[in-house]
Amino acid sequence: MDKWTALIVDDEALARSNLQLALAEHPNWHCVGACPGAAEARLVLAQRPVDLLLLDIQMPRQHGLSFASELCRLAAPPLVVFVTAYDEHALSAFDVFALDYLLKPFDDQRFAQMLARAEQTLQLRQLAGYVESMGGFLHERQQLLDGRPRPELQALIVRSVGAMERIDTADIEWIGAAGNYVELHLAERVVLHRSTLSALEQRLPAGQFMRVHRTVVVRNTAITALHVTGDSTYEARLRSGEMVPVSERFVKDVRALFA
Amino acid sequence: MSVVSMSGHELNPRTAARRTWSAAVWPWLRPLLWSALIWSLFYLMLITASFGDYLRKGKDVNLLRMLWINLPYVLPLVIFNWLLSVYVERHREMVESPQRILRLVLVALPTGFVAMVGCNAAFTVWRGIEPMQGFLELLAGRSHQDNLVDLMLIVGALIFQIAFSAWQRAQEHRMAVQRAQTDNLRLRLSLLQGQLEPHFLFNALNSISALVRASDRSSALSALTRVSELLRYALRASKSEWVSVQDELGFVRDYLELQQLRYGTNLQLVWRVEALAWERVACPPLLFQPLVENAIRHGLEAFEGAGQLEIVLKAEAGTVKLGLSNPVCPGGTGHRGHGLGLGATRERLLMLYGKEARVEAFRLREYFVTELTLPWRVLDGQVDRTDR
Repeated sequence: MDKWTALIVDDEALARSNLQLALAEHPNWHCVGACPGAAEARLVLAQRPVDLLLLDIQMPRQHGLSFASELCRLAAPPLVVFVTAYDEHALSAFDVFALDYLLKPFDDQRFAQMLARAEQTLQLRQLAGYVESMGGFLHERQQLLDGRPRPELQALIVRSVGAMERIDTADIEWIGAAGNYVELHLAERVVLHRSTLSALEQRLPAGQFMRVHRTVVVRNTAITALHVTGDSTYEARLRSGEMVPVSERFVKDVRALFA
Repeated sequence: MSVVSMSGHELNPRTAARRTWSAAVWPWLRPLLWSALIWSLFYLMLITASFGDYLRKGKDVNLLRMLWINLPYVLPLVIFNWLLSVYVERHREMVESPQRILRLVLVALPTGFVAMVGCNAAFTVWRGIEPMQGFLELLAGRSHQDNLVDLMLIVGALIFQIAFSAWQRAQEHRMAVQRAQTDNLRLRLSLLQGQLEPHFLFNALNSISALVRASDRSSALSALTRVSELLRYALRASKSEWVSVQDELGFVRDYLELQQLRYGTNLQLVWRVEALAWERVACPPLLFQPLVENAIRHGLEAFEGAGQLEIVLKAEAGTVKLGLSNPVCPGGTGHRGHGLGLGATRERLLMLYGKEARVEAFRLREYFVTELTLPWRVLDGQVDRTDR
């Protein structure tokens, strides 16, 4: 079997050697090169196709994200995994769009996890889902740079076991938070997605969803009744029959729905 | 000749003249108007009461005429308050301590009293109510009650003025203290938050992880020591108000060593530090490092190939001068504006040194130059200085 090919792009020499050494531990992967910038990477990509691109974001000459936008427009773009130091906003955006990233510094385990996910995506020809994710993320970033409001998500790409799934926001009844993950409650099932509730809430289509609790975002039309369960504790009944907690802060918004 | 206003636009001479006139005259005019207003109210009440009394006794009097006749007697009080008010406004310190207030009272009281009594007598003579030579007799013949009333009026005016000024001063003082406190807290907070920008730290740790992967133990260990020293200094520094220039230099050296780890031969350092007792010179903590980081960001990171950073530290005419310079790409790096990331540093310097310190960053031909000037202060080891 042919090995998977990877290309490393980072302006710092030690960072490049770090990734190269880490990759060398994986016999089914072959590193075709380590480039100090986007320009050099472009040359390499012109000569041969590459499966995976490990891309640093903070680079002096051309910013990693702008290079990624370029790559998205190729006929057969490589899978891009961002390698980055801590940046809260970028990371939450990556999560929402189910993009892969590697935090610096990384250990062998995390690196192996990332490679395994990359292999999965490539093997299962799930690249269409990936391209849509990346496209969505880059589009949002461009809008923000241009000073325009954040575009709304019409669909989410979610990683389930061994697959990338496309879920329309129109199918989502309500969303519950669970730490760094959210549970997307659809009509028949629940899908887990790695993102914070707040990050997701900001991108949902306006006017369709409302926050009723620190951990719950519900579709407006899914609420059928509001119950008072005690002193300042409330619950909302949804059309699916489920009950979700409503906190005092948001009770008047829910009441306004019935008015 | 055209006059330039503060906003930098040219004004025509007439507008400029009007503006200067009002700026010069208004501080004098306003106390006069206030004084006149307050005394007028008092005067109005007094005369109206007197008028009422006369009416009751059945005398035929005209209110307006009474107001007009007695007017000159209230003028000295208006003038007295006006001058007092202007004086106290200009010399605010006069109401600060009891001794000063006493001095003010001892001077103003007799002056005011004499002026008022003299003016009243002069008006009476001038009005023809009494003949001229009767001026002194008039003065001598004033009833004790009249004298006492006039004295009380002067005392009242004085007390009112002093109390008002003292209150104003206390307000200003309180607001200034509050403002200084919030400024201080805000700067402390931003200092803590801005410490060793996370990107740098994580990139440094990543470099160390690379060294470990490459089994370069000694480099990895020494890099780890650098990082821990940086963090230790940052923690200590965020708690003190002043550190020594020597400490700051050490921090910059550690920081640059780690940067060299990342950039390798791409970063050459040239140190030109004057041989002086820098451990005795005071400076605010973590002042130098952001400047170095800024220079690297605007110079080195955008510059291809081998970059060089020159660090110069010297003393000059009672000031400490730190100079950084590194070559940049000709043709600009796209970074515009002066200041270039020095906003927080400028604020700190302004708060701590006022106008005595400054920082500039600019492009000079193919170099990016940063210049910091600090007044030479000896480090006071025991106490944290809070005043300038």
